[in-house]
Amino acid sequence: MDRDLHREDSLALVKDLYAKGRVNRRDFLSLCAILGASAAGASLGGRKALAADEITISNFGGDAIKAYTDAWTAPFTADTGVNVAIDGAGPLPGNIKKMVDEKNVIWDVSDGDAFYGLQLGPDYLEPIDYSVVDPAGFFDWNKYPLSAGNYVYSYVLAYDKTKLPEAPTSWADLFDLKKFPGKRTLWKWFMGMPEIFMLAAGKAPEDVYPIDMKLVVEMVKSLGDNLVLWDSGASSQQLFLDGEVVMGNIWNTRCSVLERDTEGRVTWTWNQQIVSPGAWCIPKGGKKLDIAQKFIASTQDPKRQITLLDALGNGPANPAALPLLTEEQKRINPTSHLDVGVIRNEQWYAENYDNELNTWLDAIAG
Amino acid sequence: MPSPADQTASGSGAPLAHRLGRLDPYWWLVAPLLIVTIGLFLVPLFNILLLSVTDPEPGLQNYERLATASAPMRVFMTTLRICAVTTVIAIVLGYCVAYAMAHLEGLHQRLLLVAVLIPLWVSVLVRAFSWLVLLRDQGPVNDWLIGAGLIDEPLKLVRNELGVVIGMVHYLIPYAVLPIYAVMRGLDNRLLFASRSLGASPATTFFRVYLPLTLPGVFAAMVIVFVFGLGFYVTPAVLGGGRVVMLAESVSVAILQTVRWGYGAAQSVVLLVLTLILIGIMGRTVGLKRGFG
Repeated sequence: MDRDLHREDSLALVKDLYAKGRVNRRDFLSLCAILGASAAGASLGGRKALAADEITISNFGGDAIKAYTDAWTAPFTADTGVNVAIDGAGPLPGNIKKMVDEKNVIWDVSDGDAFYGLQLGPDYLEPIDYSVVDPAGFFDWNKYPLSAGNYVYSYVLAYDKTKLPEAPTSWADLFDLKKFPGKRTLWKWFMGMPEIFMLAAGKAPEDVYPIDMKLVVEMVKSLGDNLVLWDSGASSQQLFLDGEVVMGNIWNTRCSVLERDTEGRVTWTWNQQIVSPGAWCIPKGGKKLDIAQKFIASTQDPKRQITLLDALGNGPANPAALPLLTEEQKRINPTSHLDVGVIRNEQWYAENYDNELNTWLDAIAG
Repeated sequence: MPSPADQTASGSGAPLAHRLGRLDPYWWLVAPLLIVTIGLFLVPLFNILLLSVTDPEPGLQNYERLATASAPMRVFMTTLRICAVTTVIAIVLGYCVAYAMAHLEGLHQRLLLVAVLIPLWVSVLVRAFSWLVLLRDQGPVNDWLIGAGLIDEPLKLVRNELGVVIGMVHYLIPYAVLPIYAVMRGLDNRLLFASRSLGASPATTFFRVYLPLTLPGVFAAMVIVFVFGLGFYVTPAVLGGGRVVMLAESVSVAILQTVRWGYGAAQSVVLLVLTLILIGIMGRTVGLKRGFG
């Protein structure tokens, strides 16, 4: 009995350390294992075990855990006393559906793309409460009933200066194998890709949607062996670092890091960037809706969004942040270059992602 | 010869207690495992089957899509092709290793056994990335070949089906070696002496006596390697460079990204049925029983 009490106390301690970011996720899991509890039972899953003043948010892990802590969760805790644990497990829509179906909602707030709101729908997500969250703190393309913009990232043309005769300036150059020979890389998971085919084929930015998938298939096949796919941000970075590709369509967040790491060998152009709204959503069935809404509202703070821009290159989702940026911050911020970009159409993805992702995977396998 | 107990129990009017009495006590040893298997494996499996005909709405539309669209058909064909090629290569290489292991003595044999087993303890992810580093365009293998003047352009060794096959063969060879080795060890060597003393050449002895006697091990290894290969996820995802989509990954896309669970479940069911059919065919044609002893 005593031993059990001690174990529970140790678990509570570990949980607390984890929540405060003093213990990382891996150590947390192994400590839980040592103490004979599953992580799910200890903190990530068992809502009963949680203190009342704690919420868990999800994101895609890696450097983003520290960056979110500095920009968003630590200030929120300082303001409200509510601890925020970050679970970097990677909130793909299927993970959210699973949690809600199993009535085991671990994430009070989840990171993701704005189209999750359209894809998962009101059966799986709570509406954003725009009386708590400031409806003015968004662009008109990253505010949805079920998802609220938290940052903006974009798909941009990155290239290796040393491997090309001149700098490519538009997506048409990516498909010009004669003028720019060498391998190029595109994202395996399709989003932010089909738009560049339309632009390269000469369509005006406002005519990009609906996507002509026949044309996409035809054009992607024309790249033949010159096509390499990246399937994670890290792998896109590695391809350029190793000099395996001469150009590609990758996330802007990786470009600034690449430019720094290669001392300018790899750089990018904002021209024809595909601007994509990252967004918070609230999985249905969470017990701390009020705190979740307040947390989302707190992340709208322009200064906090700029902290995230400095750390990761994620652009502010709140237009109010734009006038506050320095020249250097503007240089790496996608939302400072909206004039030359195309906004990704979340509605199109919500309706077509399932079918066209399969079409795409089929085409790139060829 | 039937025991008296059997005779009593098989009698038509035998009381229930007697029938239960026939339940061999050894069953109790497997009971926990059976309960776990039914509870944690068969029930969820049934759920998957159910999901495939109920999500998003009742009906066979998920299967209809599998049968009519071109993308899933390609995924199936890619999966089968890669598994078949992998199996053939792994079996041939595995047979050679097993043969060497069965004929080496003492320390040498133990060393070889350890060399076969050690890769089993290395994570599949680590192995896949190691191959990627070794075989990529700017990797050491291509660098060395170019440096030696053997080739001008880097060979396309990874980020394609070849890369996937290399990675899978490497992973699966131990599973080919061990069943074959077990059969070889159990072989009565006097049969080979008999063959030689009756005038057969070493080659004839190998092909007419040794090989047929070790075939059960080969078939067992084939089933294990092939079926194992069907479910590969990490290796094709890493070494295929995004261009080789096998079934497991396709299921994961449907579950995690496009959130069409019924469609993902239907693919899993087809994979399961396909596997069972293959095992059935192999069992009938090549006498699987002998292989599994």
